[in-house]
Amino acid sequence: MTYEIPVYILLAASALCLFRGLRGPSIPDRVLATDAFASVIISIMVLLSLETNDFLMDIAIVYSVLGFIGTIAVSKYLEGKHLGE
Amino acid sequence: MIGLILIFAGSIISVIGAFGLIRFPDIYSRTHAQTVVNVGGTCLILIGVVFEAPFLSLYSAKSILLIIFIFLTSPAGTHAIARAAYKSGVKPRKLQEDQLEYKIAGVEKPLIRPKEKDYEKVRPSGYRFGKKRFFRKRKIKG
Repeated sequence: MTYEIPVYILLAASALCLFRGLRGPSIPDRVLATDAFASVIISIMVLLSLETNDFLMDIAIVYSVLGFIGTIAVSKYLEGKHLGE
Repeated sequence: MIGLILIFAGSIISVIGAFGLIRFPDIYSRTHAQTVVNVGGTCLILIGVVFEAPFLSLYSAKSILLIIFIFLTSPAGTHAIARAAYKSGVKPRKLQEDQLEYKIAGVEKPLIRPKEKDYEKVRPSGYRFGKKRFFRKRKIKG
């Protein structure tokens, strides 16, 4: 039960990140906000899994990998290249 | 106890970084706030989780793995975003002369400092308010 307060604080942080993602003027702004949102969600998952001893830790690892791949893919697309170049 | 302190500090640092993500004016300065959220917040919380979990368990091993992964990938992702933003034409705020453009094109151009009146033309435009007349300075682009 002691991990409830950091989870609420992190929910506020994720709301701020979503605000920047919704009204970022350019596309890289939205990608940046999505990356920050992913890391905040990862920390929420880790705290929740510490309490319930659940499989959320594995989901956090996979989600960090997917967030990194999405960031790299969108930035390569904005440069006008493919993923291998 | 150490783990709880680290977890609380990490969550507060995450809120500070997310607030900076809103307040900063430019994408190249917002990358700084995003790094604060990524490394400062998440890695501090994960280090606290290592202290909180039972000693030498699979749980803390996964947490250390996640710390190493975030330390490796976060700077690379931020660098790629900033590079893509420059290549897709997002200019920094208050940019007067782009030296990197000359460098990419391979043209050597000496540093020209524009004079004050060249890039900051000020036109006084007044508006009536009661009996007095106030003047307001307004900037013109170009």
